[in-house]
Amino acid sequence: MSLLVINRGVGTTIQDAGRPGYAHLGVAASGAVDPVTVARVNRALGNPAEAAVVETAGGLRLRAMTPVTVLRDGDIGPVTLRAGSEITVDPRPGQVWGYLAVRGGIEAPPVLGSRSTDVMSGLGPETIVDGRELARGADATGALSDVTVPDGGSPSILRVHAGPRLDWIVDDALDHLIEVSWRVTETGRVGVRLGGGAIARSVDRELKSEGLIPGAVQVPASGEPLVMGRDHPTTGGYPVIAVVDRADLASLMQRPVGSTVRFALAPT
Amino acid sequence: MLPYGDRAVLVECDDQHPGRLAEALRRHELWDGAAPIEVVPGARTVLLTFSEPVASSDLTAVIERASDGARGLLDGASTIVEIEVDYDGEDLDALAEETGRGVDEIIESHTSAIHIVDFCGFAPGFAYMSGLPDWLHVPRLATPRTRVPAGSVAIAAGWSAVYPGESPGGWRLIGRTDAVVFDADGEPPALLPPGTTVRFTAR
Repeated sequence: MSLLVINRGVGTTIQDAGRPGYAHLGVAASGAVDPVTVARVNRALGNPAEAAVVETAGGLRLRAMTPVTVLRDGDIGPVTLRAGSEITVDPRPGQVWGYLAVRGGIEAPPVLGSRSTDVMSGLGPETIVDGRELARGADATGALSDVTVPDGGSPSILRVHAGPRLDWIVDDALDHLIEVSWRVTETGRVGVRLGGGAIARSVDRELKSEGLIPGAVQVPASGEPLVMGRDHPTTGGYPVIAVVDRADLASLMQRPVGSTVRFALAPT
Repeated sequence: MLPYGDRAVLVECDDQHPGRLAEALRRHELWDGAAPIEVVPGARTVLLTFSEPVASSDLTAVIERASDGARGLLDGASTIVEIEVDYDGEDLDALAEETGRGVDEIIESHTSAIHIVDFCGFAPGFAYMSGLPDWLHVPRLATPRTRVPAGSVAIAAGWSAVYPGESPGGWRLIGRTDAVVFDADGEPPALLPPGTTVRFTAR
Protein backbone atom coordinates (compact mmCIF):
# COMPACT_ATOMS: atom_id res chain seq x y z
CA MET A 1 0.00 0.00 0.00
CA SER A 2 1.33 3.43 -0.64
CA LEU A 3 -1.24 6.26 -0.48
CA LEU A 4 -4.14 6.78 1.90
CA VAL A 5 -7.10 8.92 0.78
CA ILE A 6 -7.58 11.62 3.45
CA ASN A 7 -10.09 13.63 1.40
CA ARG A 8 -11.48 12.14 -1.80
CA GLY A 9 -12.16 15.56 -3.33
CA VAL A 10 -14.56 15.97 -6.24
CA GLY A 11 -14.97 13.61 -9.18
CA THR A 12 -11.91 11.58 -8.22
CA THR A 13 -11.40 8.31 -10.11
CA ILE A 14 -8.64 6.00 -11.31
CA GLN A 15 -8.04 6.31 -15.06
CA ASP A 16 -5.76 4.87 -17.72
CA ALA A 17 -5.92 4.68 -21.52
CA GLY A 18 -9.40 3.13 -21.38
CA ARG A 19 -11.03 0.02 -22.85
CA PRO A 20 -11.67 0.58 -26.56
CA GLY A 21 -13.21 -2.28 -28.54
CA TYR A 22 -16.38 -2.99 -26.55
CA ALA A 23 -18.70 -0.18 -27.71
CA HIS A 24 -20.86 -2.71 -29.60
CA LEU A 25 -21.69 -4.26 -26.22
CA GLY A 26 -22.74 -0.90 -24.76
CA VAL A 27 -19.36 -0.31 -23.06
CA ALA A 28 -17.71 3.07 -23.69
CA ALA A 29 -13.92 3.27 -24.02
CA SER A 30 -13.74 5.57 -20.96
CA GLY A 31 -10.15 6.50 -19.99
CA ALA A 32 -8.52 9.74 -18.81
CA VAL A 33 -10.18 12.96 -19.97
CA ASP A 34 -6.75 14.34 -20.91
CA PRO A 35 -4.69 11.42 -22.28
CA VAL A 36 -1.80 13.57 -23.55
CA THR A 37 -1.27 14.99 -20.07
CA VAL A 38 -1.46 11.51 -18.55
CA ALA A 39 1.11 10.16 -21.02
CA ARG A 40 3.40 13.11 -20.17
CA VAL A 41 3.31 12.60 -16.40
CA ASN A 42 3.71 8.85 -16.81
CA ARG A 43 6.75 9.34 -19.04
CA ALA A 44 8.44 11.59 -16.50
CA LEU A 45 7.92 8.89 -13.85
CA GLY A 46 9.36 6.16 -16.08
CA ASN A 47 5.93 4.55 -16.41
CA PRO A 48 4.40 3.19 -19.60
CA ALA A 49 1.94 5.68 -21.14
CA GLU A 50 -1.02 3.49 -20.21
CA ALA A 51 -0.21 3.21 -16.47
CA ALA A 52 -3.19 4.12 -14.29
CA VAL A 53 -3.28 7.53 -12.59
CA VAL A 54 -5.64 9.43 -10.30
CA GLU A 55 -7.90 11.98 -12.01
CA THR A 56 -9.67 14.60 -9.91
CA ALA A 57 -11.69 17.76 -10.26
CA GLY A 58 -9.98 19.00 -7.11
CA GLY A 59 -9.78 18.88 -3.35
CA LEU A 60 -8.05 15.48 -3.27
CA ARG A 61 -5.72 14.95 -0.31
CA LEU A 62 -3.53 11.89 0.08
CA ARG A 63 -1.05 10.68 2.73
CA ALA A 64 1.99 8.60 1.84
CA MET A 65 2.02 5.41 3.95
CA THR A 66 5.42 4.41 2.62
CA PRO A 67 7.95 6.47 0.65
CA VAL A 68 6.42 6.97 -2.79
CA THR A 69 7.49 8.88 -5.88
CA VAL A 70 4.71 10.93 -7.46
CA LEU A 71 4.09 13.65 -10.03
CA ARG A 72 1.16 16.01 -10.35
CA ASP A 73 0.27 17.64 -13.64
CA GLY A 74 1.71 21.15 -13.33
CA ASP A 75 4.77 20.09 -11.28
CA ILE A 76 8.21 20.40 -12.81
CA GLY A 77 9.26 16.85 -12.03
CA PRO A 78 8.72 13.82 -9.78
CA VAL A 79 9.06 14.16 -6.01
CA THR A 80 9.47 11.41 -3.43
CA LEU A 81 7.10 11.77 -0.49
CA ARG A 82 8.31 10.60 2.93
CA ALA A 83 6.08 8.22 4.84
CA GLY A 84 3.45 10.27 6.67
CA SER A 85 3.64 13.36 4.47
CA GLU A 86 0.56 14.60 2.64
CA ILE A 87 -0.11 15.98 -0.83
CA THR A 88 -3.11 17.79 -2.30
CA VAL A 89 -4.16 17.43 -5.92
CA ASP A 90 -6.08 20.10 -7.82
CA PRO A 91 -6.48 20.91 -11.52
CA ARG A 92 -4.26 23.60 -12.96
CA PRO A 93 -5.83 27.07 -12.68
CA GLY A 94 -8.55 27.42 -15.30
CA GLN A 95 -8.84 23.68 -15.89
CA VAL A 96 -11.37 21.09 -14.74
CA TRP A 97 -9.27 17.93 -14.36
CA GLY A 98 -6.02 17.44 -12.43
CA TYR A 99 -3.80 14.36 -12.30
CA LEU A 100 -1.54 12.58 -9.86
CA ALA A 101 0.66 9.80 -11.18
CA VAL A 102 2.68 7.40 -9.07
CA ARG A 103 5.91 5.70 -10.09
CA GLY A 104 4.80 2.16 -10.95
CA GLY A 105 1.23 3.24 -11.72
CA ILE A 106 -1.87 2.87 -9.53
CA GLU A 107 -2.72 -0.78 -8.96
CA ALA A 108 -6.34 -1.92 -9.33
CA PRO A 109 -7.94 -5.00 -10.86
CA PRO A 110 -8.43 -4.34 -14.59
CA VAL A 111 -11.97 -4.67 -15.98
CA LEU A 112 -12.15 -5.55 -19.68
CA GLY A 113 -8.46 -4.72 -19.91
CA SER A 114 -8.59 -1.29 -18.26
CA ARG A 115 -8.28 0.33 -14.83
CA SER A 116 -10.52 3.24 -15.82
CA THR A 117 -13.70 3.92 -13.84
CA ASP A 118 -16.61 4.62 -16.18
CA VAL A 119 -18.83 6.93 -14.13
CA MET A 120 -21.87 6.26 -16.30
CA SER A 121 -21.83 2.44 -16.41
CA GLY A 122 -19.97 1.92 -13.13
CA LEU A 123 -17.43 -0.40 -14.77
CA GLY A 124 -13.86 -0.35 -13.52
CA PRO A 125 -12.28 0.34 -10.11
CA GLU A 126 -14.62 1.34 -7.31
CA THR A 127 -15.17 5.02 -6.69
CA ILE A 128 -12.50 6.53 -4.48
CA VAL A 129 -13.68 7.17 -0.93
CA ASP A 130 -12.04 8.62 2.17
CA GLY A 131 -9.93 6.02 3.95
CA ARG A 132 -9.24 3.95 0.87
CA GLU A 133 -5.66 2.92 0.26
CA LEU A 134 -4.25 3.19 -3.23
CA ALA A 135 -1.67 0.57 -4.07
CA ARG A 136 1.37 1.22 -6.18
CA GLY A 137 1.84 -0.98 -9.23
CA ALA A 138 5.04 -2.42 -10.66
CA ASP A 139 4.75 -0.81 -14.07
CA ALA A 140 7.79 1.50 -13.96
CA THR A 141 10.59 0.51 -16.28
CA GLY A 142 12.20 3.83 -17.21
CA ALA A 143 14.21 6.46 -15.40
CA LEU A 144 12.77 9.51 -13.64
CA SER A 145 12.96 12.77 -15.54
CA ASP A 146 11.59 16.28 -15.43
CA VAL A 147 8.43 16.92 -17.41
CA THR A 148 9.84 17.26 -20.91
CA VAL A 149 7.03 18.89 -22.82
CA PRO A 150 6.49 22.50 -21.81
CA ASP A 151 2.95 23.64 -21.34
CA GLY A 152 1.95 24.92 -24.76
CA GLY A 153 -1.36 26.17 -23.46
CA SER A 154 -4.74 25.30 -24.80
CA PRO A 155 -5.75 26.13 -28.39
CA SER A 156 -8.15 29.06 -28.44
CA ILE A 157 -10.17 27.70 -31.37
CA LEU A 158 -11.05 24.00 -31.47
CA ARG A 159 -11.18 22.07 -34.73
CA VAL A 160 -14.33 20.23 -35.75
CA HIS A 161 -15.08 17.85 -38.61
CA ALA A 162 -18.44 17.43 -40.30
CA GLY A 163 -20.70 14.79 -38.79
CA PRO A 164 -23.12 12.36 -40.45
CA ARG A 165 -26.46 14.14 -39.85
CA LEU A 166 -26.05 17.59 -41.36
CA ASP A 167 -29.29 16.93 -43.25
CA TRP A 168 -31.18 16.95 -39.93
CA ILE A 169 -30.38 20.58 -39.24
CA VAL A 170 -30.96 23.77 -41.19
CA ASP A 171 -28.56 24.48 -44.04
CA ASP A 172 -26.28 26.94 -42.29
CA ALA A 173 -26.10 25.09 -38.97
CA LEU A 174 -22.45 24.15 -39.34
CA ASP A 175 -21.70 27.84 -40.02
CA HIS A 176 -23.68 28.64 -36.91
CA LEU A 177 -21.64 26.16 -34.86
CA ILE A 178 -18.51 27.96 -36.01
CA GLU A 179 -19.75 31.55 -35.67
CA VAL A 180 -21.19 31.34 -32.17
CA SER A 181 -19.04 31.95 -29.14
CA TRP A 182 -20.37 29.03 -27.07
CA ARG A 183 -20.38 28.89 -23.30
CA VAL A 184 -19.76 25.70 -21.31
CA THR A 185 -22.92 25.25 -19.22
CA GLU A 186 -22.23 21.77 -17.84
CA THR A 187 -19.15 19.54 -17.93
CA GLY A 188 -18.20 16.06 -16.80
CA ARG A 189 -16.66 12.80 -17.91
CA VAL A 190 -19.86 11.91 -19.79
CA GLY A 191 -19.88 15.06 -21.88
CA VAL A 192 -20.02 18.84 -22.21
CA ARG A 193 -23.16 20.91 -22.70
CA LEU A 194 -22.86 24.20 -24.55
CA GLY A 195 -25.13 27.23 -24.34
CA GLY A 196 -25.28 30.77 -25.61
CA GLY A 197 -26.86 29.85 -28.93
CA ALA A 198 -29.12 27.25 -30.46
CA ILE A 199 -28.84 25.24 -33.65
CA ALA A 200 -32.16 24.87 -35.43
CA ARG A 201 -33.13 21.40 -36.56
CA SER A 202 -34.93 20.90 -39.85
CA VAL A 203 -36.21 17.44 -38.89
CA ASP A 204 -38.24 17.16 -35.70
CA ARG A 205 -38.82 13.43 -35.47
CA GLU A 206 -36.55 11.30 -33.33
CA LEU A 207 -33.53 9.77 -35.02
CA LYS A 208 -33.23 6.00 -34.65
CA SER A 209 -30.40 5.32 -32.20
CA GLU A 210 -26.94 5.20 -33.73
CA GLY A 211 -23.36 4.91 -32.58
CA LEU A 212 -21.55 7.72 -30.74
CA ILE A 213 -17.86 8.50 -30.28
CA PRO A 214 -15.98 10.89 -27.97
CA GLY A 215 -16.18 14.38 -29.45
CA ALA A 216 -19.46 13.77 -31.31
CA VAL A 217 -21.55 16.97 -31.27
CA GLN A 218 -25.22 16.06 -30.80
CA VAL A 219 -28.07 18.50 -31.31
CA PRO A 220 -31.04 17.73 -29.06
CA ALA A 221 -34.44 19.35 -29.52
CA SER A 222 -33.34 22.40 -27.48
CA GLY A 223 -30.68 23.14 -30.12
CA GLU A 224 -27.96 23.46 -27.48
CA PRO A 225 -25.09 21.15 -28.49
CA LEU A 226 -23.94 18.24 -26.37
CA VAL A 227 -20.38 17.06 -26.93
CA MET A 228 -19.71 13.44 -25.98
CA GLY A 229 -16.95 12.82 -23.43
CA ARG A 230 -15.03 9.67 -22.43
CA ASP A 231 -17.91 7.95 -20.57
CA HIS A 232 -20.46 8.72 -23.29
CA PRO A 233 -23.49 6.58 -24.06
CA THR A 234 -22.48 4.22 -26.90
CA THR A 235 -25.63 4.91 -28.91
CA GLY A 236 -28.01 7.86 -28.98
CA GLY A 237 -30.98 9.30 -30.80
CA TYR A 238 -29.95 12.93 -31.38
CA PRO A 239 -28.41 13.87 -34.72
CA VAL A 240 -24.62 14.23 -34.72
CA ILE A 241 -23.65 17.23 -36.87
CA ALA A 242 -19.95 17.51 -36.12
CA VAL A 243 -17.06 15.81 -34.33
CA VAL A 244 -14.46 17.71 -32.27
CA ASP A 245 -10.97 16.78 -33.48
CA ARG A 246 -9.43 14.06 -31.34
CA ALA A 247 -6.44 16.27 -30.49
CA ASP A 248 -8.67 19.13 -29.28
CA LEU A 249 -11.27 17.23 -27.26
CA ALA A 250 -9.27 17.30 -24.00
CA SER A 251 -8.95 21.07 -24.32
CA LEU A 252 -12.76 21.35 -24.52
CA MET A 253 -13.30 18.99 -21.59
CA GLN A 254 -10.76 20.89 -19.49
CA ARG A 255 -12.73 24.15 -19.77
CA PRO A 256 -14.72 25.06 -16.66
CA VAL A 257 -18.40 25.94 -16.67
CA GLY A 258 -18.80 29.55 -17.77
CA SER A 259 -15.79 29.59 -20.10
CA THR A 260 -16.25 30.27 -23.80
CA VAL A 261 -15.48 27.98 -26.72
CA ARG A 262 -15.03 28.74 -30.41
CA PHE A 263 -14.89 26.14 -33.19
CA ALA A 264 -13.37 26.14 -36.67
CA LEU A 265 -13.83 23.61 -39.43
CA ALA A 266 -10.73 21.39 -39.68
CA PRO A 267 -9.06 21.34 -43.07
CA THR A 268 -9.99 18.21 -45.02
CA MET B 1 -21.93 5.80 -46.18
CA LEU B 2 -21.75 9.02 -44.15
CA PRO B 3 -18.59 10.74 -42.85
CA TYR B 4 -18.42 10.88 -39.04
CA GLY B 5 -15.45 13.13 -38.28
CA ASP B 6 -12.12 12.16 -39.81
CA ARG B 7 -11.70 8.73 -38.20
CA ALA B 8 -15.15 7.18 -38.45
CA VAL B 9 -17.90 6.46 -40.95
CA LEU B 10 -21.55 5.59 -40.53
CA VAL B 11 -22.84 2.86 -42.84
CA GLU B 12 -26.58 2.97 -43.50
CA CYS B 13 -28.05 -0.51 -43.56
CA ASP B 14 -30.87 -0.24 -46.11
CA ASP B 15 -32.31 -3.78 -46.12
CA GLN B 16 -29.48 -5.19 -44.02
CA HIS B 17 -29.88 -6.23 -40.42
CA PRO B 18 -27.54 -3.87 -38.46
CA GLY B 19 -26.44 -6.51 -35.94
CA ARG B 20 -25.66 -9.04 -38.66
CA LEU B 21 -23.86 -6.49 -40.85
CA ALA B 22 -21.78 -5.42 -37.82
CA GLU B 23 -20.94 -9.06 -37.10
CA ALA B 24 -19.74 -9.47 -40.70
CA LEU B 25 -17.73 -6.21 -40.59
CA ARG B 26 -16.02 -7.36 -37.42
CA ARG B 27 -14.27 -10.19 -39.28
CA HIS B 28 -10.62 -9.30 -39.41
CA GLU B 29 -9.86 -11.06 -42.69
CA LEU B 30 -11.87 -8.32 -44.45
CA TRP B 31 -9.53 -5.56 -43.40
CA ASP B 32 -6.02 -6.44 -44.44
CA GLY B 33 -4.45 -5.09 -41.26
CA ALA B 34 -6.46 -1.86 -41.07
CA ALA B 35 -9.35 -3.23 -38.99
CA PRO B 36 -11.61 -0.75 -37.20
CA ILE B 37 -11.25 -0.26 -33.43
CA GLU B 38 -15.02 -0.27 -32.94
CA VAL B 39 -17.87 -1.68 -35.05
CA VAL B 40 -21.04 -0.35 -33.46
CA PRO B 41 -24.46 -1.13 -34.88
CA GLY B 42 -27.41 1.16 -34.21
CA ALA B 43 -31.04 0.70 -35.14
CA ARG B 44 -30.41 1.38 -38.84
CA THR B 45 -26.66 1.97 -39.13
CA VAL B 46 -23.22 0.58 -38.35
CA LEU B 47 -20.53 2.94 -37.04
CA LEU B 48 -16.91 2.08 -37.88
CA THR B 49 -14.16 3.84 -35.89
CA PHE B 50 -10.50 3.74 -36.92
CA SER B 51 -7.24 4.71 -35.23
CA GLU B 52 -6.15 6.83 -38.20
CA PRO B 53 -8.00 9.21 -40.55
CA VAL B 54 -9.92 7.36 -43.26
CA ALA B 55 -11.56 8.24 -46.55
CA SER B 56 -14.97 6.67 -46.99
CA SER B 57 -14.19 5.96 -50.65
CA ASP B 58 -11.52 3.48 -49.51
CA LEU B 59 -14.08 1.49 -47.55
CA THR B 60 -16.74 0.90 -50.19
CA ALA B 61 -15.36 -2.43 -51.40
CA VAL B 62 -14.90 -3.81 -47.87
CA ILE B 63 -18.43 -2.87 -46.91
CA GLU B 64 -19.86 -4.49 -50.02
CA ARG B 65 -18.00 -7.71 -49.26
CA ALA B 66 -19.24 -7.60 -45.65
CA SER B 67 -22.79 -7.02 -46.84
CA ASP B 68 -22.65 -10.21 -48.85
CA GLY B 69 -21.23 -11.96 -45.81
CA ALA B 70 -24.02 -10.60 -43.63
CA ARG B 71 -26.64 -12.11 -45.94
CA GLY B 72 -24.85 -15.43 -45.51
CA LEU B 73 -24.97 -15.04 -41.72
CA LEU B 74 -28.68 -14.40 -41.87
CA ASP B 75 -29.30 -17.42 -44.08
CA GLY B 76 -26.88 -19.74 -42.33
CA ALA B 77 -27.66 -21.66 -39.18
CA SER B 78 -26.49 -19.57 -36.25
CA THR B 79 -26.55 -20.58 -32.62
CA ILE B 80 -29.75 -19.69 -30.84
CA VAL B 81 -29.50 -18.34 -27.30
CA GLU B 82 -32.47 -19.46 -25.20
CA ILE B 83 -33.64 -17.29 -22.33
CA GLU B 84 -35.99 -18.78 -19.75
CA VAL B 85 -38.55 -16.29 -18.51
CA ASP B 86 -41.12 -16.13 -15.73
CA TYR B 87 -43.84 -14.16 -17.49
CA ASP B 88 -45.20 -12.29 -14.49
CA GLY B 89 -44.23 -8.71 -15.39
CA GLU B 90 -45.99 -5.77 -13.78
CA ASP B 91 -47.13 -4.34 -17.11
CA LEU B 92 -48.65 -7.50 -18.66
CA ASP B 93 -52.25 -6.70 -17.71
CA ALA B 94 -52.02 -3.13 -18.97
CA LEU B 95 -50.47 -4.38 -22.23
CA ALA B 96 -53.29 -6.91 -22.65
CA GLU B 97 -55.81 -4.12 -22.28
CA GLU B 98 -53.88 -1.75 -24.56
CA THR B 99 -53.42 -4.28 -27.38
CA GLY B 100 -56.82 -5.93 -27.00
CA ARG B 101 -55.14 -9.33 -26.80
CA GLY B 102 -54.93 -11.62 -23.81
CA VAL B 103 -51.91 -12.05 -21.57
CA ASP B 104 -51.59 -15.61 -22.89
CA GLU B 105 -51.45 -14.35 -26.45
CA ILE B 106 -48.70 -11.85 -25.56
CA ILE B 107 -46.64 -14.63 -23.96
CA GLU B 108 -47.33 -16.98 -26.88
CA SER B 109 -46.25 -14.31 -29.32
CA HIS B 110 -43.10 -13.43 -27.36
CA THR B 111 -42.01 -17.07 -27.06
CA SER B 112 -42.75 -18.06 -30.65
CA ALA B 113 -40.93 -15.09 -32.24
CA ILE B 114 -37.33 -15.32 -33.44
CA HIS B 115 -35.55 -12.32 -31.94
CA ILE B 116 -32.31 -10.88 -33.30
CA VAL B 117 -30.08 -8.43 -31.43
CA ASP B 118 -29.99 -5.25 -33.53
CA PHE B 119 -27.58 -3.35 -31.27
CA CYS B 120 -26.56 -2.72 -27.66
CA GLY B 121 -26.74 0.53 -25.74
CA PHE B 122 -28.15 2.23 -22.64
CA ALA B 123 -26.00 0.05 -20.36
CA PRO B 124 -23.31 -2.61 -20.83
CA GLY B 125 -24.95 -5.73 -22.27
CA PHE B 126 -28.37 -4.12 -22.80
CA ALA B 127 -29.44 -5.65 -26.13
CA TYR B 128 -32.15 -4.22 -28.37
CA MET B 129 -33.80 -7.30 -29.92
CA SER B 130 -36.13 -7.01 -32.91
CA GLY B 131 -38.69 -9.67 -33.82
CA LEU B 132 -41.93 -8.61 -32.12
CA PRO B 133 -45.12 -8.64 -34.22
CA ASP B 134 -46.38 -5.15 -35.11
CA TRP B 135 -49.27 -5.31 -32.65
CA LEU B 136 -46.74 -5.59 -29.80
CA HIS B 137 -44.88 -2.43 -30.83
CA VAL B 138 -45.87 -0.39 -27.79
CA PRO B 139 -44.42 2.94 -26.62
CA ARG B 140 -42.23 3.35 -23.55
CA LEU B 141 -43.88 4.43 -20.31
CA ALA B 142 -44.64 8.16 -20.20
CA THR B 143 -42.86 8.27 -16.85
CA PRO B 144 -39.94 5.85 -16.48
CA ARG B 145 -39.62 3.76 -13.34
CA THR B 146 -36.81 4.91 -11.07
CA ARG B 147 -35.86 1.30 -10.37
CA VAL B 148 -36.13 -1.72 -12.65
CA PRO B 149 -34.63 -4.93 -11.19
CA ALA B 150 -31.80 -6.80 -12.94
CA GLY B 151 -33.11 -9.61 -15.13
CA SER B 152 -36.35 -7.81 -16.00
CA VAL B 153 -37.62 -8.81 -19.45
CA ALA B 154 -39.28 -5.86 -21.16
CA ILE B 155 -40.58 -4.57 -24.45
CA ALA B 156 -40.86 -1.09 -25.99
CA ALA B 157 -40.70 0.65 -29.37
CA GLY B 158 -40.63 -2.66 -31.27
CA TRP B 159 -37.81 -4.22 -29.27
CA SER B 160 -37.40 -6.71 -26.46
CA ALA B 161 -34.65 -6.39 -23.87
CA VAL B 162 -33.30 -7.90 -20.66
CA TYR B 163 -32.10 -5.38 -18.06
CA PRO B 164 -28.48 -6.41 -17.25
CA GLY B 165 -28.44 -4.66 -13.88
CA GLU B 166 -30.77 -2.65 -11.70
CA SER B 167 -31.39 0.75 -13.27
CA PRO B 168 -34.06 3.30 -14.01
CA GLY B 169 -36.09 2.30 -17.06
CA GLY B 170 -39.11 3.16 -19.16
CA TRP B 171 -39.74 -0.18 -20.89
CA ARG B 172 -42.86 -2.27 -20.26
CA LEU B 173 -42.10 -5.17 -17.95
CA ILE B 174 -43.42 -8.56 -19.08
CA GLY B 175 -41.28 -10.96 -17.02
CA ARG B 176 -37.96 -11.78 -15.45
CA THR B 177 -35.09 -14.18 -16.06
CA ASP B 178 -32.14 -15.55 -14.12
CA ALA B 179 -29.96 -15.34 -17.24
CA VAL B 180 -26.86 -13.18 -16.67
CA VAL B 181 -26.68 -10.97 -19.76
CA PHE B 182 -23.53 -9.06 -18.77
CA ASP B 183 -20.52 -10.10 -16.70
CA ALA B 184 -17.42 -7.97 -17.19
CA ASP B 185 -15.23 -10.87 -16.00
CA GLY B 186 -16.97 -13.39 -18.26
CA GLU B 187 -15.63 -14.61 -21.59
CA PRO B 188 -17.42 -13.37 -23.59
CA PRO B 189 -18.70 -10.56 -21.31
CA ALA B 190 -22.08 -10.20 -23.03
CA LEU B 191 -24.60 -13.01 -23.56
CA LEU B 192 -26.37 -11.07 -26.33
CA PRO B 193 -23.90 -9.29 -28.64
CA PRO B 194 -25.28 -7.73 -31.84
CA GLY B 195 -26.41 -10.30 -34.39
CA THR B 196 -27.34 -12.96 -31.80
CA THR B 197 -30.52 -15.00 -32.44
CA VAL B 198 -32.64 -15.33 -29.34
CA ARG B 199 -35.65 -17.45 -28.30
CA PHE B 200 -37.54 -16.79 -25.09
CA THR B 201 -39.13 -19.75 -23.34
CA ALA B 202 -41.77 -19.63 -20.62
CA ARG B 203 -40.85 -21.21 -17.29
